[in-house]
Amino acid sequence: MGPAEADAGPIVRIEGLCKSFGAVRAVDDLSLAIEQGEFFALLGPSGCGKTSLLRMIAGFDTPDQGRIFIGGKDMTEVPPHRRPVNMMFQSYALFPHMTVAQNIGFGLVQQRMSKPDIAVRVGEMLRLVQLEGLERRRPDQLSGGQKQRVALARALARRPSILLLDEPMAALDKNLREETQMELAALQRRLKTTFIVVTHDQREAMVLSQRMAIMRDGRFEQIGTPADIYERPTNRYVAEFMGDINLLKGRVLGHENGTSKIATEAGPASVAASRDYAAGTEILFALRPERIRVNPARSAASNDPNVFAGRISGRSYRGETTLFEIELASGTNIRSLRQNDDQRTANDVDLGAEVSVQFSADAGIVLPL
Amino acid sequence: MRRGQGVRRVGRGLVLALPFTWLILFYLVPFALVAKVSLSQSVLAQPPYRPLFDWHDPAGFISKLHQLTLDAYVGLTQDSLYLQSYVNSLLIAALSTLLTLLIAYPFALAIARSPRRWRIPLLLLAIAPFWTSFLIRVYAWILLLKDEGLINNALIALGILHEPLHIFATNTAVVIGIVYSYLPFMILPLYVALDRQDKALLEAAADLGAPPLSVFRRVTLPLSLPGVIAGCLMVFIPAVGEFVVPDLLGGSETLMIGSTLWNDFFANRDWPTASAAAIVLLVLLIGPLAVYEHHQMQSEPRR
Repeated sequence: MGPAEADAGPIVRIEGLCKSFGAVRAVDDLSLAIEQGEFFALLGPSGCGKTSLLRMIAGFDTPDQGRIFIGGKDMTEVPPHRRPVNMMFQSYALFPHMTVAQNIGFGLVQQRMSKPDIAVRVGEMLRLVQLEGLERRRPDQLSGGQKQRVALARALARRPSILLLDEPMAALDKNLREETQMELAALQRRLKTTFIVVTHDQREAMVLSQRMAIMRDGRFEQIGTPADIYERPTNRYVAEFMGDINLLKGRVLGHENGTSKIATEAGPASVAASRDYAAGTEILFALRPERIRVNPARSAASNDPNVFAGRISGRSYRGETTLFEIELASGTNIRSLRQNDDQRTANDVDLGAEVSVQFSADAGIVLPL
Repeated sequence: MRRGQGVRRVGRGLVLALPFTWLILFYLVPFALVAKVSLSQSVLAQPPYRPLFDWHDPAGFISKLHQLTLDAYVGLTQDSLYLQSYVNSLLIAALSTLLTLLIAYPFALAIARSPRRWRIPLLLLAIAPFWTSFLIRVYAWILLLKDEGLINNALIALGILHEPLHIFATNTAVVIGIVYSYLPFMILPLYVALDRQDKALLEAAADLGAPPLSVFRRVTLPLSLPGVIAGCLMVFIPAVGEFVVPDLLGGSETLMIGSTLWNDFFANRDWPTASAAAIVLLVLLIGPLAVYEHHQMQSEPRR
């Protein structure tokens, strides 16, 4: 393969990657292509194999089977110090015996860059992460947030073609985390470097990435944009992992005029046509709580699809939102999340009140049982 | 609450009192005795110095203070034997420490990097020789090193040598003996320093383009320096005053302060001079230690 062809392809291509630790298949026959300039997230619970995959891209672990191509070149057997890839470690792994400037310059010294050039690049990196003036500090004299920035600057200093981030926000407290996520996403858009982040936090993956892969037991469950995966999960696992969701057992009745009729355990429902399921198929009908509206009972016209009668059985006020638990007439429980955009209505529905719940035809998601 | 704090304070006092009492009884008091003897005058008597304190005449203590003399210390400077002993001891100890470090480092590194379940057994193996008598192990080296010993016989039998190597009864033999005897004291602190190094740091260095040798030079080695210093002190300090090894493996050329002291005490019965020599040795050893301690305090993270 010539260099011109190599440039055209994806920056990372993984083919049939397998890795076992003892009896555990950490990574099970994974294939994936990541394009140049993408911010890609590997999302999953701990032990799903996302970190193992990242470590194989970095070169710390060698796969049992499969190939890893970086920039079109087969890098499966190449040791980490010869890969055009840098990693930001979860623990930051800053060298405690070196100053901030020495940490950031570590990889540049290794490249035999001249001292003045190193100083220039280190200065550039310090500006990039807004740490000017701290170059002579040692890691133990830095706050958690500052350490994280040094780790980021150090990993970017060599201008890698891919930056790997292993749970980059795990050690930050919540407020700092949200701020830092926005900054990191903005930084990536500016640098146009390919970023691959590993996280167990679905919100973080959605905020940061342009595309993401949900992992379970060493396999990809679904790959797509954050909106794709949140709005159109392909199975129950992904739907539940991405956020709170109501699952109702149901059966497809038929398709007509661009909608599908579904009999759920809570009542009849109609959704935008999902022709993947033939009439008579047993399915799961999924509804995100924020797509369900709670109405006073009288507005409920009994046989309308997508309107179920019920009674408020639980209410948790969370400030910006209120979560209602509704016991439906059918005996099923369903959750509805309301945005409290009006102070007067924030608490106007009482426990025990007779209500109806309603959702639009594009709110329902049909999932395989 | 208040009561609890009081109890805790008393408890803390007791915990601290124990080691302090130990140090006072078994370190400070003997040290004071040696210091006192070093300032006494040598006499042909039992004990072989003029005592400062007499149970039959306690009041005479004050009047006898003027008898204290620096004669013994002056004597040390006038006899080149002592200077030679000190220099020789320091040189042999320094060389032995360096060699011990060079041999122990790969051992410690290999143990620290071996699978977790292997580390403790490997460490035990490194310490295993301690379960036999030190004296017997040093004697064993005589059998190995002497002209018709195992090593020479083997080398001659293999045709590598025609004449035996004269190692036994030389400074070389002393260095070999010290390196062998003190190796575990070096391995242990090195192991501790290497074992607690965060493995992520090694990966980070490799990730930033460092091949294995650079990772060692730029990360592993500098981070293990506290262990190196601790190990070197644990070998160097006892090695300077080592008596058994030079006595058994050394020869006429071997002049170490331990043997000189022994001669003064038991052969010459010159206790004040021997005590003075011991005090000077102590000062020589405490000096570098104090510098190291000071350096440690400076480099400790300020919180």
